Amino acid sequence: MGKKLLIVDDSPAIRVLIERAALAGGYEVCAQAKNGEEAVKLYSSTLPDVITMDITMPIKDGLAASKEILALNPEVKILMLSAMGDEEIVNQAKEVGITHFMKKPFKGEEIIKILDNM
Amino acid sequence: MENRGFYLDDIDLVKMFIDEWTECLEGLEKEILKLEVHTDDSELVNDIFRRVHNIKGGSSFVGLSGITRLSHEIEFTLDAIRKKKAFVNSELIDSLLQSLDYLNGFIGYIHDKVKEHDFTEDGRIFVEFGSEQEETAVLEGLRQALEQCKESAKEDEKPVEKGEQVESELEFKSNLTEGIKEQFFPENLEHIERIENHLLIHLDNHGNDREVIHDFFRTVHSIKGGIGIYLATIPSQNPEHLALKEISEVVHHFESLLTLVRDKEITFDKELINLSYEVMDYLKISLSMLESEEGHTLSATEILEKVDKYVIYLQSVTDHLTDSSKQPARPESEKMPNLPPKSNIMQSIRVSQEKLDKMMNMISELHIAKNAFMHISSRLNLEYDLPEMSKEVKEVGSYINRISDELQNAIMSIRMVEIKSVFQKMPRVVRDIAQSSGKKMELYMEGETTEIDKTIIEQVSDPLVHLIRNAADHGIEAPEERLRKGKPETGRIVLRAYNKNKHVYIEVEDDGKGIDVEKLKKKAVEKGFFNETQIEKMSQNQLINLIFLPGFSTANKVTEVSGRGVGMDIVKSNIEKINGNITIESAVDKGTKMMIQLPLTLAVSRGLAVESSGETYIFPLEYIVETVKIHRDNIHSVNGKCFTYLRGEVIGVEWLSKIFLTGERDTEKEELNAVLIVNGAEKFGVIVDKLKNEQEFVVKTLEGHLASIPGISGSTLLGNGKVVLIVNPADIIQLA
Repeated sequence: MGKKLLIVDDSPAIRVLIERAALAGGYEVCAQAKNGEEAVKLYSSTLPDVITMDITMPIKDGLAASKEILALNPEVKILMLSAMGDEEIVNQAKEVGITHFMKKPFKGEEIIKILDNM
Repeated sequence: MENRGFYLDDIDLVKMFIDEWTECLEGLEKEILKLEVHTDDSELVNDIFRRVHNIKGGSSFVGLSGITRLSHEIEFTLDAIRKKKAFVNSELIDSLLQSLDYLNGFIGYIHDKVKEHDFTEDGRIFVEFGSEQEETAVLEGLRQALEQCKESAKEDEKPVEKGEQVESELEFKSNLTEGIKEQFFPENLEHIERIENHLLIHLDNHGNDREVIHDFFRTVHSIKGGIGIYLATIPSQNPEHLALKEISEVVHHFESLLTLVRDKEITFDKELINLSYEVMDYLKISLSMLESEEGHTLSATEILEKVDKYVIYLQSVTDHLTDSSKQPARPESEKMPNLPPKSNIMQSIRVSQEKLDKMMNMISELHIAKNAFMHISSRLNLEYDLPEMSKEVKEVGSYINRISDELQNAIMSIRMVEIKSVFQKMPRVVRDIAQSSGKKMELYMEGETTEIDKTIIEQVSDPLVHLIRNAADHGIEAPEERLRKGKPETGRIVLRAYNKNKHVYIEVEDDGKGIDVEKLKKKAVEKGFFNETQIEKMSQNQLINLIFLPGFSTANKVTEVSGRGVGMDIVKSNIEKINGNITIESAVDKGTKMMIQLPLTLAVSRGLAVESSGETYIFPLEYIVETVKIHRDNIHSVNGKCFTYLRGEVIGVEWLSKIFLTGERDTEKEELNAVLIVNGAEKFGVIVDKLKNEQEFVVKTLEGHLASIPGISGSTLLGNGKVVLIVNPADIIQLA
């Protein structure tokens, strides 16, 4: 069985996009969250190996959610998906200890390549 | 992209994105409109931002770079708003909406393509971009609007220095001025009033309340901002421009003073408060001069000098303060930005009183017109023998009745305002008197949220100021005198408003020296109002009411404050003009209580329709005590005046026909119908032929030669379209 992946994004379409790529790449998508708050909850109940994390989301944004998840488990691997104009937040995320970033838009093969190397 | 078009290949994905975007766009327009009013609502900006961000992210995936570019630009703009780098103005909102329309159109276009299965042979969609010019125009429009907003944000920070450079380019904006002006004056006056009546009064007692000092600073800053924006819309040749610049300078300097006070933890002392009041007075006067377009304002030099002097003084005083005392100040002043935002301020629009009045009038007429249904209904039944039809008309009638009732309630509630707006002035009034007379007193206000019709509020404001002045100036004694009498040194004035029995009551109560009836007696005789025997016969209540006589003033010396020639008689007549009533209770050395009774609204009254000599009249309900049947034998006549005994009380009676000279006393009937009316303490019975029904009516004043008929206060329309006269009971008692 492949690694467990948690997809966090407020856009259903992007979730589908990542899901398709992940399944094709041999990952098990254990859960999908549409905001940061759900992400934290689902992390605790599903304990994924890797997480793809969107930044701008309602209720709780990706940075805050990542902080909370990293506090639960500093070892978890988070891939942060940034968009044009998110540079500031990316810098903040680096300070929190997030090491992997990917700029939107991306192709399915690209995201798998990064996930494989994490 | 040379051919301005490209292919979308993943149709499912595109469909999903389109659904998402449509959802995002749905609320967006409304939210942007909301943003125009709530520029400080960061949650709102965040939500708009998130929606646009979502579109941006999605569009980049499917390769719709046009949408990505535009949504990025919108995001950029929103970010500037969020970080307070740009001020939201209507132009910016316009451009945002324009961009939104463009997005909407484009997404709609793709949506249609997908729906119509307008695919190419290999199952893809060929998307043509809208014209490049259009896209660029939208983008440019947004960029420019943002640039201008950034300018005005900068300008707001330094209105004085920056003013000159931007002037020339802003001249073409002068057509904007009117709209801004309409908001500018009332808004700033509101700020000033709040400072005067709220913040300064509070600081007077708690000079070190940092929260309030911050609030003060912010409010002054808002005034400055407002002036800056208004200034930007006035051409520089305009004399107003110069005047406004001067005002702006005063506010700017005053703000610097407050910055010192805030940052150096200085306590507000009496001197500082007096200076603040002076600045507020200056602002109020010069702004109202500007508004009335007199074209000139007060000279600012004097007030500027005072403020500057104080700034220098504060700097010198605080320079040798030790650093340790400054240290604790930091965290608190840094707290300032995240103090409660303005989001809890209720959303409202300003409507001119005239429009409201017109609407009120029309609804009132509808109210009357609807009565016709009942009339027609009964005629259909009785005269035309169509009971079915009659029932139908009646149903429609009651339906319209209900709607017009609701309409009336709605407009009534619009016209209702909190009495706070009047009460707010009072602390300043009391403070000024306390300052100039050296007395100590405190004003307590209760029931500020009591609601009352706007027109009534306007009418009651001056009388109320007068009563408060009286209480402070004549009621409350000097501190030594109070101590001698065993009262607390600080006098107490209570201003209270409450609802009771469909009326609003306002009370002014003080614990001062009260009204000395003996003094009143002496004075009444001295001034020749009454002779001594008349005076001795008067009841306590009648004696106290002497002060309402024109030209009767009890103050030993007329002071600057209360001796303005507006006597209690004016107060009384002003209150009576709005169908109100004023009564006094007073005890020597205990205090005085003035009670004003006011109707909730002036618009619609209830009255009793009566018939006399074949003519219908209406008696306003407020004046009616009861209706009674009097037996012929119980009417006695002395010297041509008639009276009757009613439950042991002697009450004067007269026939309405006799009063209006429409007929003679009708003594044929055994039982006579009488309307018992009251004016003050006096009761009087008016005999009429027939008591009809109680109904609502709207007073229409009579004009021209009809205006001054004694005994008649106006006219109204009945449901059947008949005009009837409204009786003025106070006059009737005089006439009889």
